[in-house]
Amino acid sequence: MIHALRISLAIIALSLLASCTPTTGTKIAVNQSEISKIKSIGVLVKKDEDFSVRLSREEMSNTGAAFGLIGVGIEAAVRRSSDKDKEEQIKPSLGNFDPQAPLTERLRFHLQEGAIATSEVTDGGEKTAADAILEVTVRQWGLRRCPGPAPEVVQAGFNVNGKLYRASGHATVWEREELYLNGDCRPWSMFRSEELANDILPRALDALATKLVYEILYP
Amino acid sequence: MKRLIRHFIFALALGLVLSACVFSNANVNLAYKPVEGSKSPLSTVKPLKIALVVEDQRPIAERESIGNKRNGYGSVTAQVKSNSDVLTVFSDALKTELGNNGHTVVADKEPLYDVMLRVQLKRYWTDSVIHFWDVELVGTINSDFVLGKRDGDKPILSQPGQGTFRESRQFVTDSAYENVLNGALSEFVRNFSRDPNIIKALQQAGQTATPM
Repeated sequence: MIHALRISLAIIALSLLASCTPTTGTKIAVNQSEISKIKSIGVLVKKDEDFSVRLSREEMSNTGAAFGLIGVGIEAAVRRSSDKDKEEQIKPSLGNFDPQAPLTERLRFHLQEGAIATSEVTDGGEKTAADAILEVTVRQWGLRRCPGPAPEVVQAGFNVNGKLYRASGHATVWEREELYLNGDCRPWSMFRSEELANDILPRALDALATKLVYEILYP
Repeated sequence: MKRLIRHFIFALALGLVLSACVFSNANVNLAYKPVEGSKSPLSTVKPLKIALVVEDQRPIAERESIGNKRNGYGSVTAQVKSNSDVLTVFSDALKTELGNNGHTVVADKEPLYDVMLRVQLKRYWTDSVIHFWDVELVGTINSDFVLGKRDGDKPILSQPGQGTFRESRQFVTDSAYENVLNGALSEFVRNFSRDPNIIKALQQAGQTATPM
């Protein structure tokens, strides 16, 4: 009985500790004196998942919640399936597009514009001669629902985690969850063209890279 | 048996007291808190006289309140209301950011401005989504930016802007709504002042501006 009570208390304590977790914005703000010491940055871009469409999932209506937790699960599954269908229709126009290489290139370009020497590093960055590593993990990328009453309208979006850490010791000096949306809203079916891979996504990646570099250089 | 009934009544009363919060409106204090001494890339643009015009283009249904309060089943039970004028808070936040970066915000009626920044507010809203393990609270601000030399001229820039702040919570109190809305405003201003297109457009406007 006492054991069960302890477990219950532990669960309550854990849920209280887990409450109020921001999932966007700056988690660790860079210190101006810290950034002035960093003269060279190694850039490492990782990717968690492939192209996705988040249209129906962004419209979670709370209808499922009326039927309890199982209802929430069912609604989420139905919406995921609807998004998956659209993904499959758009994927052929993407060709071999992968955001990792262009984002690495654009980050290096904009850091160099900010008078910081850059290099490309492989996973871990142990062998780099740079002062710090900028590790950007693309958590989710693709097309996201646009705000407003118009249904089925999406824009290019990248949800990334950016982290700058010292190459020696790996102490994190900056971390941010960035949700970049390019604002070019169109019906989802209009993205079934080569323009997506040749123009829309590369431009969005350039703007994202600029934004991330600005976040570091202007804390 | 008596003890069991006492426990039941106590649990019922506690449940009623806690759930009562869901049915009353949340009144929040909206505020923009800039980081002390912080500069953004806006400071790299030559100082400009900017006529800032903020227009309320939110849907009529979203002007009286700034969010929904929901119960555990996802039904809307009450509203989130601002203690101050939303448009004033929003406009002041942009003015503060421009001012902190060396620009002067003037009235659009003043004839000698370098550039006109028209900000059309489309959404200023908080809502919650119930997930399996937690409740996700989302604060969203959406707007359109139109930047031009003079009102009526072809704009140098016309694009949407956004600020989103999300928090995962187990319990949602009134202060949680305030927190996500103020977080969204901070993110909005941050995105505005670090947007490469806006910086470029202001630089372009600055090239032909009259010296201050």
